[in-house]
Amino acid sequence: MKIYRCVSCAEATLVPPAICSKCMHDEFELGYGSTQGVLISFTTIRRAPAGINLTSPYHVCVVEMTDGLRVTGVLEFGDSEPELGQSVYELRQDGMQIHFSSSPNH
Amino acid sequence: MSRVFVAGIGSTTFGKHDGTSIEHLAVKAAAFAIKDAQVDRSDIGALYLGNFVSGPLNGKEVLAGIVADRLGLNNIPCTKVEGACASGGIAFRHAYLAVSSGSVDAAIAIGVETMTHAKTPQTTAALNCAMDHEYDSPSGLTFPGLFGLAWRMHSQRYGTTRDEVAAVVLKNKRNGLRNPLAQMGAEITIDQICSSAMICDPIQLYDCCPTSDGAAAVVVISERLMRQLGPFRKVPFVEALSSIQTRGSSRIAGHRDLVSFDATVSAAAMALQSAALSPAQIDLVELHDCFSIAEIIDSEDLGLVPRGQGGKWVMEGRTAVDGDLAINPSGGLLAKGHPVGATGVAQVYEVVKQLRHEHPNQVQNARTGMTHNLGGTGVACTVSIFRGIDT
Repeated sequence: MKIYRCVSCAEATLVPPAICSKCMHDEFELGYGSTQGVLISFTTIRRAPAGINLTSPYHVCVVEMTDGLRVTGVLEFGDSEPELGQSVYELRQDGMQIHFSSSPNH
Repeated sequence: MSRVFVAGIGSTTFGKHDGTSIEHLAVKAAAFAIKDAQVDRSDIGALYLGNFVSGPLNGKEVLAGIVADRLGLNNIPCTKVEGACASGGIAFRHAYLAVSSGSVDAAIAIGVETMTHAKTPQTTAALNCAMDHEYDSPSGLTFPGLFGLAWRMHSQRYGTTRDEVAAVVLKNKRNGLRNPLAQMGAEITIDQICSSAMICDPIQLYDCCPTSDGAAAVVVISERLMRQLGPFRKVPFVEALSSIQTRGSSRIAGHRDLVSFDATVSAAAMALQSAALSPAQIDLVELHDCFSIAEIIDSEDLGLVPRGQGGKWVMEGRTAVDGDLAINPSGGLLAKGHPVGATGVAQVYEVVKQLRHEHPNQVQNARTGMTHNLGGTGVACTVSIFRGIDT
């Protein structure tokens, strides 16, 4: 996934920030973060909020990436229901919407 | 710093108030509180109004000044405060600060919301304004979804069961039956809860608080004014020992741990320290059970129940009105209702009724009480502590 790294303190963020919340520097370089992470938790949204480009039911997850960045994303199940703590894999990024798969063979 | 006393409280019922304007509800609750306080309107030096969604759902703003106008208050500063579902708690804290700082002898905090006239997608969109739109909204997350994430983790880490979480609903619905202000008190069964519609796994319909209309108000006064009014009063004063506001992460992925809200942990620690009390000295708490699992997490975050034991405590009846620590004897948000901007002030109303020993669902010998109000994804929190006193 695309990440923005502060050129002063190397703090990484997903959204291009106005300033770095850690050191207040205002220059960032675009880079790429890890594509694998650990599933912290997930839930299934049965009724989508207005304006979202997803069809319910869909699964939302919190993932801790290998490089330490924690992100909220959309989870696509493999063959079985995933377990917390298992590895998940980045599938694609649509703007700020990051899709993960719970299967390594996605 | 002046000591702060709650002199008067007022509330409307929570539920559907079809055809009643938001101003009208706020004015009703405020008028009850002013009469209950037996202060003169000219004594009130500041007004704080907690409200979250009057803009998107009613097309109305500057409510604080409008309500003061209808109440016939003086030319005083009138401020609307917003902190999502913690708006009411923040309004109370500002009134507390205005008095404790010595800048006024009396202040009024009002909380109000009307929601039931709106269609569900409109309400969901309005409440979702409190999400971090840059980080969390793109994933399609909702507020029940946040607590679904937390529940799954709590179950995995501590073994919290569906029946334990359902016990929160059973208790609060039962408490609500004994509160005439409550919207949805009921005697229900575990089967009803577990067969209700799935909302955001594992959260089902009965695990969610309703949308509500309602208002509550509280008049706080200085020690000087309390001494002046004391001889003429029949009802006891309640002292506000502390009122703390904190901030947590605005991003869901920014929380250190999804089964705990940092803002609650720090607010409770500071409020207890400021009140010079230990958790064991708290007799009852009105806490932010927007979802059933939230009550379990909050009770642990507040330091009132050991970490991971929240489910067991409710199952064993230790948080019932006659238990070791009464949690949400009002029925809480689950049964009393959750007119979002009103909730934080209404919690103070409930605790003060308990400490005056005039609550219809009375906690026996209640001396100290706590309120806990949480906003957004845990980004805003208030905790306040109260003690009953005799004049």
